[in-house]
Amino acid sequence: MKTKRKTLNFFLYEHQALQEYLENMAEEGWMIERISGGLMKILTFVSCTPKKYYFHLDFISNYSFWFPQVENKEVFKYRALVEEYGYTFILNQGPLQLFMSEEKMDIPIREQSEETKKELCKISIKEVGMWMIFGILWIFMGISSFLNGKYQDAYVWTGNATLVLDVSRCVLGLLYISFSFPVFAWMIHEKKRYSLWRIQLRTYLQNLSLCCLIVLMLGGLFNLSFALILLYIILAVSIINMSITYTAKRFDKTYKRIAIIALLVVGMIMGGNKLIEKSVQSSMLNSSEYILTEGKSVIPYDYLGWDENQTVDIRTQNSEFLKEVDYSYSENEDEYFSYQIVTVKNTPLHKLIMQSLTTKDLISEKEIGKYKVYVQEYCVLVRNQGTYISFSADQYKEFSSLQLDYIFDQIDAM
Amino acid sequence: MPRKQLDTLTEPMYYTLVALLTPRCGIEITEFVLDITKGRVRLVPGTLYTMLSKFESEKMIVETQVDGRKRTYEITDKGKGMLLEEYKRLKDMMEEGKPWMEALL
Repeated sequence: MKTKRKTLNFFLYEHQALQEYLENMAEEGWMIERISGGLMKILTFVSCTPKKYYFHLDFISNYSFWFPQVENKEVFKYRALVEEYGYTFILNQGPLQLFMSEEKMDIPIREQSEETKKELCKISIKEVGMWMIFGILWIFMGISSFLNGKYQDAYVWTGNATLVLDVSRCVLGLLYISFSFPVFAWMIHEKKRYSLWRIQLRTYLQNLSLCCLIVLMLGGLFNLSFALILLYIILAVSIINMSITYTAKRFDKTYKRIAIIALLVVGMIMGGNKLIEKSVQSSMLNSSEYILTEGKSVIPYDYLGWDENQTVDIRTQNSEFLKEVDYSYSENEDEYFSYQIVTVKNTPLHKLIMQSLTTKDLISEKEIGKYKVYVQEYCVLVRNQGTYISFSADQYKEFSSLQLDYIFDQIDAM
Repeated sequence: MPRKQLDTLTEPMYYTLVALLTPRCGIEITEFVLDITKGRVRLVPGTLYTMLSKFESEKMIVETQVDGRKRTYEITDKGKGMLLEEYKRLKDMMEEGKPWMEALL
């Protein structure tokens, strides 16, 4: 037996639209078998003989939010009572009770009254209230992590995965809360009828925003700037896709497939982010040879605009600034010395170093051209007439050209 | 002092209790009420279930027979007492308002 899954994030008060949807599906040969999920609902259909059926959605108030499938004796009594009137029970999901009939029924399961609305309001508040609490918790966690995060000391935020994750948590929280908005709108102003295509559009937007967020969270693990570019691509694809869908006022398979493929492609690009980033940065840095206008053999931290507190991240390997700090020593028997190779992670830092050097009074204009920065495999070395300075975490050392030649050999061999 | 929830019976509640003076199941209650009110009061299963649950928990009605899915209920002495009280209240209201209301007719 063939099965089909659809998402439709409906609320109980939109029962007429859902009934219409289920009736359309049954006429196309798909009978509803299961409804699962909380705010985001997944409807499972099984193939059946196409036929006109009438669906009737009702609700109960005594159900478990945490275990919506667990039922008590009272629910069975309720169902038995409804079935006495000729309805056939199909499925339940939390407060939702779905019945079916082959004929149009004279007596509805429930009358539309103020009493019914009050009861529905109670259930709806219970449903969305929980999700709102989750949303608030997510935001709280995101903000508290952001405020306590070490990255706030960082000079450059590029590539900060923790920041992206914290922001994502806040966005996720806001999404949870925003999913509840239609319920409050209904409580304030009840419409006579809720059209199916509006629910479908809402479902589409909600699912898409969650997918984007998941992709962003995954992408955030690699690099923020790259993730943002990809987020723009996702948004662009989604907006184009949605505008086509909105104009057509239908949700054709093709559009859905395009959206899924777009998301998959973007996801894959995200996965390869690190690889791309590495190759791109590598080529950028390798081709650079910066001529300084100023310089000095020893450059203290302050000249780079960093104080002791701000350099915490620099000392950490794989931090925002540095890819690697390699501590090593020479194996040359004639001359023993230790050295550190600082591997700069990204271009902004490199530029920052250059900028710091050029804005300080470290060299007279006459000496322009005497200082050069050699970049080899991310390693930044500043040369001053045969004296080289390596940027290390703890100090700036002066090396003789012989020592530097040795270090370069080691770097080449890396 | 505020009245308790079942101190005053609503119209559907009143007719449900009247219907249960004889043992009846859900659909029979609906048909009976439709019949005696000439289609004015229609008891649908969703609301009827809520009422029956309330009555049962207050011991105003009792389940007398279970035949498959069909459950039959009957009014208890407590339920009869409350129904009678309501009947008297409605009758008193009629009598008390009669001199003025008749003039309006």
